[in-house]
Amino acid sequence: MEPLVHRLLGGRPAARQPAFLTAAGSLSYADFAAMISAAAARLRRGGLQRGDRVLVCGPNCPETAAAYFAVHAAGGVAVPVDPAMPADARQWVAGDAEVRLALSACPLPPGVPAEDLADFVRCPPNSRAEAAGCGLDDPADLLYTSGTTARKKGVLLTQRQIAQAAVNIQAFVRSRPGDVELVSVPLSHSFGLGRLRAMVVSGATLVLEPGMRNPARTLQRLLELRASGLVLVPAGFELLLRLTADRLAAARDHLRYIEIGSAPLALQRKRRLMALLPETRICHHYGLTEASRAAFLEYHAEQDKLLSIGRPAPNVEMAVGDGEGHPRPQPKGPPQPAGGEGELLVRGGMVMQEYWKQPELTRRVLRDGWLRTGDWGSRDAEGYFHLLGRQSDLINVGGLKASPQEIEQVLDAHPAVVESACVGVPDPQEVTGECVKACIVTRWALSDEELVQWLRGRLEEYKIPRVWERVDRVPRTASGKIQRPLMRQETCP
Amino acid sequence: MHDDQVAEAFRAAMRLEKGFVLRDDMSFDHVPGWDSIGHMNLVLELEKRFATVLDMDQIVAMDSVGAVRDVVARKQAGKS
Repeated sequence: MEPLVHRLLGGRPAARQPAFLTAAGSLSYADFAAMISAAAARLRRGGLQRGDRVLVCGPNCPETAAAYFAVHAAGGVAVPVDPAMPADARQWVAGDAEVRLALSACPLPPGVPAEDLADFVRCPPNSRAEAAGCGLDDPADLLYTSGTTARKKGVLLTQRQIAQAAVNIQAFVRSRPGDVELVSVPLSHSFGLGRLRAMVVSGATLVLEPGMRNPARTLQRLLELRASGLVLVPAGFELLLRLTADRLAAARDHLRYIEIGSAPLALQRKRRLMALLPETRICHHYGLTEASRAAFLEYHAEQDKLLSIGRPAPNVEMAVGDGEGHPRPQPKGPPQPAGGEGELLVRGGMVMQEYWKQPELTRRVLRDGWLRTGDWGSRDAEGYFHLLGRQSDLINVGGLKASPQEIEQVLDAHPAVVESACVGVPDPQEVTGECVKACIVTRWALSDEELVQWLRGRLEEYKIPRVWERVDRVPRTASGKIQRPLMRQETCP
Repeated sequence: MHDDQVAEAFRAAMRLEKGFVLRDDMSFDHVPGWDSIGHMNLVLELEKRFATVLDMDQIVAMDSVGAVRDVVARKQAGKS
């Protein structure tokens, strides 16, 4: 195994193979490597030291991908951030990560040394870097994800861990040179980064779509390009199927594989996808930022197990925990039912190194190499895992995690709001799986629209509640803890 | 008036504040809430308000406020 960027700069995948297709044409792996190399040289000339963090904030495009790998090549740690993240949150991330530099496509608050991302990676062709300056055990990525408190968590991954994740993904999804893969998930998210890293192993060609804002356009591109791979979150498929009916079936003769992940998909939707695409490998993963792609399920091959999250990914172990972060003992031989429910645990070479600057939290979730997922589940006699719920209060909005406490903090800062409490409820539009419901106590009458305007710009769009309820008081236990299960009911008691 | 109905469809779909002024050159980045869910809501709102069904090519074309107005105008003209 070697750092992924070593493969890229070492001429693997094949230099002439296209790495990306864009509206402007194609970018070969050789040109992509040259872009990375030159940008890495520039980072070094600018004084970047091994282990320095660099914020990478750009849209889905080859330049953002090049900036990400250039940070690695220069020995730095990439801190990918979604351009849709509000400015305050970006500033917080930059501060917490103590970034030395930001390569950003959008303005950053003063105090963060920043360069325009696209200008930075379009370096003069004569700037050359020496060999990549990172080793397998060097930190590679610092990914921020919503935690169980209002504070985001920084997940630190080493070069070895991201390389192992790429190998595992590739072993299951099996993309290959010549594949053209449409990626509609952001490169700032573990899912999108996973596809970017896997391409280094597979040699496939990526088409980076600017998200799913117009799902019909994504389908149009898929058909125009006769793409053989498609990467989407379940909400993306829901939108595609609703807005374009059965048109996805037109891709059946060229769409070889799909990777879906980050959230569950309703059984009826899985069956519809299978009917529309009978020859396509439909790979659904279960994973976390802390443990990319812990399990996989392929719909057609494992159609008797569509209600499960699949079996552990290649090179990954999963277990049902005993409540203390240790796996329950299993008899030797073929997998047996775990004998009950418990917290799901994951172990493998792709599991994170630590939470950035949070050693206590790291100790709580990592035990003997096992990661406590915070998800509740079980294992059946065939070794398939079933997801039964979540131990934490995190809300999964179409694959993006939202901390209720973070939303409550912003709501409570409104002068008319006395207190608020948020919880995940089924999305009434049945698109994102869950959405945010807010119960609020206000000093004076306030419309939903006024509250939405207050939250816009202070939170990402997906965190803005879609269900509102006015209450006299937020339900709490005697000790003052919010009773979130009660709030999931249609009307607060 | 089609234009007013289109503006109202935007307001309802994207949960826009009353004073928000829509201009024809505004695209996804300029209209708050115009993400994938907002886009779907916009399609549903337009279909409801104009009692029509938009096809895939029309949905693909809807990438700015002006383009949405054009799609609706052409759809309405085709009806009459």
